[in-house]
Amino acid sequence: MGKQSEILQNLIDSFAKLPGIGKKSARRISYYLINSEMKVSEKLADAVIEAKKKLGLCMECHNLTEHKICDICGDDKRDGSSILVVENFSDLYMFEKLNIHKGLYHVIGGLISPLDGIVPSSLNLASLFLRVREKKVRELIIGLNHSVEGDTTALYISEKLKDSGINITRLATGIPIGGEIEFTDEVTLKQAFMERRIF
Amino acid sequence: MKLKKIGLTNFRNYGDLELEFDKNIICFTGLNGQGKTNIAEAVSVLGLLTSFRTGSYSEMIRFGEEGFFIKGEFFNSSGRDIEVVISYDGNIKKIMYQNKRITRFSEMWGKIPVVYLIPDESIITTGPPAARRDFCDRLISLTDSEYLQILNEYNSVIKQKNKVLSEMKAGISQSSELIAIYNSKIASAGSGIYIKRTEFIKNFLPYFVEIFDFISDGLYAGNIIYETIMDEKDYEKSLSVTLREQKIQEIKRGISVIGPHKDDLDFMINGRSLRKFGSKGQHKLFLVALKLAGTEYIKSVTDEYPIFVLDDLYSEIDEHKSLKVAKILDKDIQTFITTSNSRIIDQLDQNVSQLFRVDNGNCTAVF
Ligand SMILES: Nc1ncnc2c1ncn2[C@@H]1O[C@H](COP(=O)(O)OP(=O)(O)O)[C@@H](O)[C@H]1O
Ligand SMILES: [Mg+2]
Ligand SMILES: [Zn+2]
Repeated sequence: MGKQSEILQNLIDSFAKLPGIGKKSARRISYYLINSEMKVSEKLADAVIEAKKKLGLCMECHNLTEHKICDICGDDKRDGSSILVVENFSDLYMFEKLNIHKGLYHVIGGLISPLDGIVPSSLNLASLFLRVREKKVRELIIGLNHSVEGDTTALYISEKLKDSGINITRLATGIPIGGEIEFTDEVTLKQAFMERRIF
Repeated sequence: MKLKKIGLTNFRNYGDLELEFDKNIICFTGLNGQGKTNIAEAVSVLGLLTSFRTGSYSEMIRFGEEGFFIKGEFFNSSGRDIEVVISYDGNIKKIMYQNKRITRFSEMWGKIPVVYLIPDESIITTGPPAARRDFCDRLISLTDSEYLQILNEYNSVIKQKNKVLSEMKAGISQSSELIAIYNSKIASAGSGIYIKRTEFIKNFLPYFVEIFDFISDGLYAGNIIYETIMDEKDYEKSLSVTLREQKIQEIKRGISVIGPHKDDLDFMINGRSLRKFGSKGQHKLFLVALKLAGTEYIKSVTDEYPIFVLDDLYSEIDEHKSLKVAKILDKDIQTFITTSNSRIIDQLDQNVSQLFRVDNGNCTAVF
C-alpha cells in the first residue's frame, strides 16, 4: 500500500478537529467532497468564509450577528429587564424557537470546567455582571444544563449577584439530569422553562 | 435472571460460538488458557456492559479481527424475554437493549444484574479502602440508579475540585470561590452517598452474617461497620464544616481529602478487624460470603436473583466449602462456573446442570 496523500491527510485532520466529528466521519466527509463536483466544495468553502467574515458577536449579549448589536437586543419590543443566560448560540436558538421568552439573552460561551481549562474568566461573565448592574435588569433566568459544570456555573453567577437584589431563577429539572438543552424535546424544554424556580 | 442463549462472534478466542442454556448450573471445564474465563467474561459484559478483566473493549476483539459481536437472550422471573446485543467495531460501541440503542451505560445498568466471583478480587478485603467502597457502590447502584447518578456527579465534582486545588497549590490560579461552590456540592451529594451506603449496610448485613456463619460452619461471626471521620449524627453538616476547616490543608496538598471518597468499610470477624488480623483462609471466606450475600441483597430489592459467575471455582473455594456454596446458590440462581479441575464433573447433578468442555476456542456440550 502506498503512502496516503499529505493533502488528503491535511483535509481529514482539519475536519477531525471540529467538535463532534471523529476520525471516521472526517474521512467520510473528505472522500465525499473529493468524489463530488467542484461546486459542492466551492459552496462549502464560500459559506465558511462568508460566515467568518460577516458574522460577529453582539456587543451586548454575545449572540451571533451581522451587526454590532443583534436583532434581539435591537428589538425595542423586547423586555430589557429580563435576561436569559445561555451557554451557546444553539441553546439560544432553541429558546427563541419556542417563542416563550420575551426578554433578552446573554450567551456566556461555555460552562465552568477547570478540567477543560474553562475558568470563570474564560466566559462572558464580566459583561453579564456589568449588564445587570448598569441596565435595569430585574430578573435573571439561568438556562444552563443540569450537569456538574452547569450547576457550578449557575451557582457562581448567583453567588456573584447575591447582593444585587435581582430575582434569579433557574430552569426546573424537566431536562433530564446530565441532559443537554440542544437534545431536549420541545415539550420538556417548555416544561422546564415554565417551572423555573428561585435559585 | 437467566441467560438462555449466548452468541459470540470474534470475541476473545472465539470465532463463532452459540450456546443454549436450560439449566441452573452451567459449568465449563478444560485446561488452562483454553477460553473458559472468556465465556464467563462475555456473560458479565452482556449484563454489566463492562468486563471484570479489562476496561477496554478493544482487548476483547479476537486477535486479527476488526470487531466483536455478542448477543444474549435472557428471561427474568416474570417470564419476560430480554435481548442484549453488543457490538464493537474498534471505534464505536453499539449496545442494543430490546432492539433499542443504549447511549448511556446508566440506561441499562442494573437491568441484567450479574454478581461475579473471580480470582484476584482479594483486594476487596485486603486492599485499600477504595476497593471496599467500590464493592458497596457497585452493589447499591445495581439496584438504585439514582445512587449511580449521585456518585457520578460527586466524582465529577471531586475531579474538578482537584484540578483547581492542584493549580492553587502550584500558584497558577486563585479560585477560592470555586472551591466554596464545589464544597457545597460535595456536602450535599456526599451526605446523599453516606445515607445510601449506611442504609445499604443495614439491609445487606443480615444476609451476610447468616451466610458467613453457614459457610464457616458456625465458626465466624461477621460484621461490617461504616467508617468515617465525620460526625454521623449529622453527616452533611459535619462534612460541610470539615470542608471549610480543612480548606487551607486541601490547597496545601493540592488534592481533595475530605468526603465520602475517603470513607471505608470495616470488615470484622469475631469482633476483630479482618484486614489486620484475618488469616488468608478467613479473607477468602469473607469475600465469598460478601458475594453470595450480594445475590440475596439484589433479590430483596429487585425481586430478581442476579446471574452468578464463579470464575476458577477451586482457586477461591475448596471442595468442602464449594458444596456449601452450592447449597446457597441452589435457589434458582443461574450460576456459571469455570474450573480446570475435572473432579467437579462427578459432583454435578445432571438434572440441574450442564457441562461444557472448552478446548482452544471450541466449546462442546458434555451433558
Ligand atoms: N483478544 C483475544 N483474541 C484471541 N485470543 C485471545 C484474546 N484474549 C485472550 N485470548 C486467548 O484466550 C486464552 C485465554 O482464555 P481464558 O478464557 O482466560 O482461559 P481459561 O480457560 O484458562 O479461563 C489465551 O489462549 C489467550 O491467548
Ligand atoms: Mg480462567
Ligand atoms: Zn444581542
